[in-house]
Amino acid sequence: MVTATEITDENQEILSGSPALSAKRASLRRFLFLATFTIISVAGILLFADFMWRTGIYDIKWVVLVLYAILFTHISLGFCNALFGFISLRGNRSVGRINASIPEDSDTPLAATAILFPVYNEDVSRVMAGVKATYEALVKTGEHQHFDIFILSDSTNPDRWIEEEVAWLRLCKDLNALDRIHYRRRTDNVDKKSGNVRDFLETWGARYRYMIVFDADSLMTGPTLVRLVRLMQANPGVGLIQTAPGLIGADTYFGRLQQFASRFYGRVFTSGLNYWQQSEGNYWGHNAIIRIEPFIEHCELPELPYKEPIGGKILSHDFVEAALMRRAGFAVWLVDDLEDSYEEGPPNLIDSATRDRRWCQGNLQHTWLLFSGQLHAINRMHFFNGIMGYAGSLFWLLFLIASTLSVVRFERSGLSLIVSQGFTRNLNLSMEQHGALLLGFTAIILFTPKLLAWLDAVFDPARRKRFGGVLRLSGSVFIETLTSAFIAPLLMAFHSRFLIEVLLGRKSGWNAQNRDAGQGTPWVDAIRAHMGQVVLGILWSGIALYYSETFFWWLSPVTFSLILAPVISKITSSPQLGQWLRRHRLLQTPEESQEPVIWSTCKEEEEKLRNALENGPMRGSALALADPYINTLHYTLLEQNPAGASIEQPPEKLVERVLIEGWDKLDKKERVAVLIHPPTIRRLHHELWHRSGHQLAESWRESLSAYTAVNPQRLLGFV
Amino acid sequence: MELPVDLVTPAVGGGKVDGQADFSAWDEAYRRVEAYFAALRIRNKLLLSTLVHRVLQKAAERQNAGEVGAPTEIAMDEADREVHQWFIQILDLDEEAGEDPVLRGRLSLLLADMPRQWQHEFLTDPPWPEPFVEAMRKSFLRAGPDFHLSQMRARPLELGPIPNLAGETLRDLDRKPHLRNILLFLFVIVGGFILFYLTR
Repeated sequence: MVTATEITDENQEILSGSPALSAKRASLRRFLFLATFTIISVAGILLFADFMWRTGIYDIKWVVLVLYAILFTHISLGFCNALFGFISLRGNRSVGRINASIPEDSDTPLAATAILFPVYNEDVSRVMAGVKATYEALVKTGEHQHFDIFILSDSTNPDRWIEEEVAWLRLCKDLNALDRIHYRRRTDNVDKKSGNVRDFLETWGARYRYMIVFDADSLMTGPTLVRLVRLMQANPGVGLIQTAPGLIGADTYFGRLQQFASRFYGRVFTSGLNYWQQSEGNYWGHNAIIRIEPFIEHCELPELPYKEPIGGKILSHDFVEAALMRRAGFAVWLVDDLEDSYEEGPPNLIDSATRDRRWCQGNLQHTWLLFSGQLHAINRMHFFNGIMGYAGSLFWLLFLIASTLSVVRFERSGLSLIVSQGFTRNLNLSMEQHGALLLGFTAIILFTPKLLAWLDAVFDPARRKRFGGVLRLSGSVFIETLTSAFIAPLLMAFHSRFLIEVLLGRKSGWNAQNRDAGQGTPWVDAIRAHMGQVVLGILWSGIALYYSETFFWWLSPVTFSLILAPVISKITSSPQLGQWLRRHRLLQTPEESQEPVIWSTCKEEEEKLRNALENGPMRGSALALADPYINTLHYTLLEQNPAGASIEQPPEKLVERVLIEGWDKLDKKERVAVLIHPPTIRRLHHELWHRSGHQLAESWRESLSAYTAVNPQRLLGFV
Repeated sequence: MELPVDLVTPAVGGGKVDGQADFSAWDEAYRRVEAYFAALRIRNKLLLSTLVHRVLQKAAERQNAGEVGAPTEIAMDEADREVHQWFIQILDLDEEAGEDPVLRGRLSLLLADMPRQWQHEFLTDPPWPEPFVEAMRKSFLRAGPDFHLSQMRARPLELGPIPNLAGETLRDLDRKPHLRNILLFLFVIVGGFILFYLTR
């Protein structure tokens, strides 16, 4: 039994006893960080306030000022993260980093570790290819005997479900790893991903000391996985270590843009985050190692007051789990200097916005926890940051609206500006100069992080080479900055809408993330998704132009982006443009300049598996009824599921429809009702093969006879 | 290797039309049994037709002996019986023990890599090569290790007075929808007024 008191005492010793992880040093760092953050924020806000005061401040201008203060504070935080990250990267890297707590060549013995792949209707080929690449990477380390892999499926799509089973068995056979790679599908996917992981913990969790949580598209190399376990072994007061996953495998312009930003700017930001958060780090839901025992004891999510989506079940569980782990007395670290941890991102703006809708709801729910005195202040700061990630967009929109109203009111008054002296009188600035100073200062705060990331690469020959050399990486930064400026107003509009939807009580769905670029977003989808933004942009431009041409041009970067939203969305979703840039080594990432072995293995296996699944005798869930091996496999897995006993038998009429009308005539729900009942599965298999042709649907007759014609190479790998 | 036509001579009936119908029915039975063995990943054509031949011969004998049913049904039943008996033999199973030989046997075939390595041994009489028998008997499928149960329970978390008050207020408003609607109405009116005031 692990109790909070024991852990707290042990943890204090660890935190203060290790020179690398000193608690005193953490306090000093936080003081420096907060002091810098406060000075910069106050300077920016005062400069703007003075700009307002000089022309007379009144009601609407107060609103503008308050909104500016919120926004400026928010961007100052990003600036400080990058600044301290940059400094920290130039300083002594062995201090204040969990990775420095053990030597590079540490041979600390490992402990039983489960690697979890929670899956929800994902692309089966990609998931299983990732599992295979991970397992092979572990085998190469020679330490694979300490790891078990669990594919934890919550898939509700019957085709995906059966393909997962087929691909899992194929994988285990290929790797001779039936006792190492396990598959489980939940019958009832309560509480989504957090419920999926909880279900694992309640059934198998106690067998392991650690779990490494992957996303369906995560990849981590063998040495990184082994290193994470060693770090946990050497630091018993640490409950969770989060890696900083870089994006990989993008094809589209948008995807490669995000990938470049995450890999290029990410380093200074994560280093800055680690600088001040230290042992009060955060959890991002995947690519992290967790100490299981305290997680089981302390990290079950509480129910929030009120109903969903405002309260109820916590959607974004990760931040809360990190806070609960910290409340239990365990440290939570970000390992910012451990590379080879990857994930994939959405290929286009619309898919990215769809994901953001879910995250927005989850982050807003954290508002309930902001005032809990039982949670560490730094954890509450993480909650606040997460909320501001979305609320910031609404504040930006309100700031621009308030500014527009202020201009409208001034223009309608017919008065002229009377400029008085403000506190900048000693500088003797005209209003134009004051405005330019304000704009310059804001630009510095906004763009310095990019400059610091650029300098970080320029100072490091190996790093700059991996990004394509100074010229190309400078070009990449320029392209990224320019495109982001066009995309930012669209995200502002999306996030503002999401936030209002959540406040009005509209829940988000739970969809598998799309990672396939395809041929880019179709025009119809782009127009449909951005139509509201186009209308907003046209109306807003019209109002601005009617009252003040100067203001119209000031506002144009935002309004023109909104008007052109479908075009921007369409262009950035283009895989051709992404590939063109890649050929010219623009937006290049280190993983593109030298593909990691784990990624090539993954892609190769994905292709093979996709071929097997797509060119088999039949596709998807029909295999579970017709194929003798898949039917047996599916039946056996159902029988091993403890929840199977309570499954209801599907109606006789439905079973008969399967045979007479064919599998494709049933909807998803009906298919699941059939597939979930073991005796029905066996009966249908028997009937399919034993009935005369005239008692079967044409589609079944064709599917069965396909076995004699099918190329042996295409029998799902089971040849 | 061709299946002799006289093998599938109809057991009953005799006219040309019936004979043609039975011929088609046995053709369907042939195709079905062949597809079934192909689905079990028998890729060797000689082996495949030998197995089909054997099964159909037994099925025809059963029909000639008076068994009622379509040739496909009888032939597939015969195919299943053959496979069932063979699994019992090679896996050395006790039929009384309750374990389903077909379930166990099919998975064993797959896991022992019969389709690739042991095609020529499938449905043959003993003795079989020792490595094949061993591979078949030791094959066993489990989706996961033994359970080690535990339970996660949420610990109480004090949210603080502001969230508690907010939660209580929202729940109250849900209980009093009229009050909620009035407040929403007031919110819109006040918002409109502020907008008017700021731009007047």
